[in-house]
Amino acid sequence: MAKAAKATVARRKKPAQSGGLALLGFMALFAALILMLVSMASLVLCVFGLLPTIVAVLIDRSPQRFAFFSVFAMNFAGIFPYLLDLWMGSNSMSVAVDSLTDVFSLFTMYGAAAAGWILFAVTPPIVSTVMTFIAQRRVSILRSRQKKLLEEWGDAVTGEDHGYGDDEDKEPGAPPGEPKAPGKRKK
Amino acid sequence: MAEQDPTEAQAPAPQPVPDPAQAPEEKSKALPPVAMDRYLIHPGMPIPELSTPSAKAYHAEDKRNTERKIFALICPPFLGPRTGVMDVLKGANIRGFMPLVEWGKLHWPLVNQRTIAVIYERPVGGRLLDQLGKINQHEMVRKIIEPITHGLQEISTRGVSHRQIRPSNLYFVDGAHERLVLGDCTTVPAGYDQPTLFETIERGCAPPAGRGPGDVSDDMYALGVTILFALVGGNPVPHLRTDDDILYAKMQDGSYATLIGSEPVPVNMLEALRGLLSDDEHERWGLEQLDLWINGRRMTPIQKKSAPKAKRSIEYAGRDHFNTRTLSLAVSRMPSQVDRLVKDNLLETWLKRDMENSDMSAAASNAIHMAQNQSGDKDIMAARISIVLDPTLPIRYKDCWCMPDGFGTAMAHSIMQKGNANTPVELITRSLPRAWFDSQDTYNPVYVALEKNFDQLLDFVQERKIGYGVERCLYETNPTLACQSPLLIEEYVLTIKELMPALERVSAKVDKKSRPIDRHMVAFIAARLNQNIDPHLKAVGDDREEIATLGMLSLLALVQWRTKSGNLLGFTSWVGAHMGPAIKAFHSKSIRDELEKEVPKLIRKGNLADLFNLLDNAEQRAQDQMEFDEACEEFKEAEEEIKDIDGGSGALEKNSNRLGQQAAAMTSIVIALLIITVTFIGKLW
Repeated sequence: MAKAAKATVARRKKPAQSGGLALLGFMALFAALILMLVSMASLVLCVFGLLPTIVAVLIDRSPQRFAFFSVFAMNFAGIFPYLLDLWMGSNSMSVAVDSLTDVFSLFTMYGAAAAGWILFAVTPPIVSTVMTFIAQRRVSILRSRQKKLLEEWGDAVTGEDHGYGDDEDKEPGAPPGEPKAPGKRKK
Repeated sequence: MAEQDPTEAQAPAPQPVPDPAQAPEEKSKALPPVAMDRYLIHPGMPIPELSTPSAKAYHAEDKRNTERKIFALICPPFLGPRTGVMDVLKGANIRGFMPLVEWGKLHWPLVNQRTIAVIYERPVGGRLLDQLGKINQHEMVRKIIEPITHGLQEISTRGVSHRQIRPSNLYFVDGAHERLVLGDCTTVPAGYDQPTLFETIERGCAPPAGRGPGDVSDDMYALGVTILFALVGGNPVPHLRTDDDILYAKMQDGSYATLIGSEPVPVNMLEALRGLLSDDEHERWGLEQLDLWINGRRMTPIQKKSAPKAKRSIEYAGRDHFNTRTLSLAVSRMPSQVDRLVKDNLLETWLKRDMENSDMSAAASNAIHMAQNQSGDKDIMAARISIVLDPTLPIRYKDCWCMPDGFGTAMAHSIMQKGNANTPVELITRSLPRAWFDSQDTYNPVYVALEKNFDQLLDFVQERKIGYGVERCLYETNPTLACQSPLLIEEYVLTIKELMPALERVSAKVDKKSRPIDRHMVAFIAARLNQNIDPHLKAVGDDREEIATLGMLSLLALVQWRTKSGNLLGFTSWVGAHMGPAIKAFHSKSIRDELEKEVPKLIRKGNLADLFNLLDNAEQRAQDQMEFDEACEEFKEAEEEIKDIDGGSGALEKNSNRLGQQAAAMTSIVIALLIITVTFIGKLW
């Protein structure tokens, strides 16, 4: 039964994932088409410069694709100076090839992508540690408050040993009527 | 004939408590006199000739006038004395009545507890009993009838009946035997010491404790018998040895015929005796008729009316019965054989054919049917049948026989002497009083009030909580009975005003761990405090300890305040030692600590009302409850949050991982945008 349910979930997820990937591919294709029409050199630079991003798209199968976004953003930041050189300069294929064959520029492009990967790998543990610390701190505050409540109100405050409390009729101001201040009523 | 005391011989003696007169003589002689205000009573100097069957007489002395001849009667502490009558007679100086000088409570060493002593002026001429037959018949009216009638008239105008008229309780105050007076009638319940011979058939059927106060009509009957004793010089019917012999004879032949018999009675006295000894209460002479007779007016003599007689007798318990009265008494005496009457409708047939009384037959049939519906045991069957057969006789159930107005003393006697509360309680719960009242032929306004009282008793009996039950019935029906609480029994607390001082005295010697109230005390307060205290009783009987404690405190505070008992340091301290549950009822520890500091301060003031006001501060209590509820809610929320945090550590990890990835993506995007912006701006520059 559980297996069947899991299979159903997997079957439901697959079209969504493939749909997302297809959308990305479609968007990439659309961008490539535009670049091909505007600047073939830019397209070449992007295709080779964004190889880590292509790898990230293939590796990151999560629905949110945070790895892809991390790597893509940094990777694009890495190739942007060279794209700007093309767009501000001669915009020729040779400039693009020069950039792609230069070790420093490749290091910049792929290094930036690596930085994206590193960021993606390092941030979750840090966030997790911070959040656990905050939770522990909160528990400690709550325990301390409970201890104070127990000191003031006794075990009954835990709700396990209520003499009375919730019931209106059992209000302890009980002896009604006459007993109220027999000495003072006269005043 | 008068050598032996027939009246005393037939007097009841049901008291198992220590009899002062029987105490070792040496011991009593060694006892010092007991002081009661200005009077000294000598336990070592009993006066047997002035004692009554229940109250022993002792020599007394007036400290201000040592020449004065007085004596004291010591009331038995286990019976309700007629304190109301004592108040009426005290200092009244009624001609024809032994002067009641003083009455009050004192600790009587011979019974080792407090009780009531009644001081009378001492008659020097001895008892009428000792002069029976010695009084000339021509002096009978002047010496006996006239003074007694005057005495009865005087107390009758004060709403009191004597109910102890017999030769042994009539005294000559002078040595010449000229002035006769009525003796004591206050030390025991009305009619308690009367021999059956001196009681009417109806009240004579009841045991001493169940005869009830009755009225002047019963006194007139007793006076008639007393006159007859004086005329014939003693018991006119010595052959009737037992009470039942007397009762059966009176029922068959009538009191007059039974007592006069063949005795030579002066003709001039016959008319008065016939009037006084009439068995019909409505025909019996009253004080007015007797006064007219004394003054020489002669009236038409009452014609003897014989009770309806059956054509054929019915045999029951070894006797042949020709009338319903004797059968009624026999059925009550021997309920074990009642099945014989029920079987084959024997009783109904006898009533219809031989008594020719169809109405009574139908009533008997109805009574049998009712008894069968009420479990149908022989006792209830006999009780219901006997009421139908003679509705004027007492209510008779098992060993509890009483006139409706004597139920209180009968109940007290049953509980305190026999330790049996069940029979009187069953008598009420089985609706026998209602059956008795329903059977009465004539309207009597007294019965209406009595019936209402029995309805109230039924309510009390059915409620078992403290302040109700059999104890409440006991005090409601015996207004002069002392509180029977084990704590107060020695103190002999008769009125609500005496309660608090007695508790103060008791607090000095009692173990403070014992509860300051019990069922008897609460019932006593409820019956004696002329105020509706149901809310207090409800609180005292509450199952929750803290409410019961506050209820106890409020009730005692109310009594202290109402009786203006002043400050009671010892008793307040005793009550204060039991305030734990009331203090614990506060949830807040700081409030409890504060109260625990305050309570001893208030205890030192000796005012229970202050203590109650401190512990039952409604505002503080409501505030405490509100804050407690808030604290509970806060604790619960904290607990849930902690559980969420602890139980959700896996989810937190997963969540933080996702958040981390998101943060990484966002950071990358932000860094990339910065780099792009800087690069672009740098290129343009």
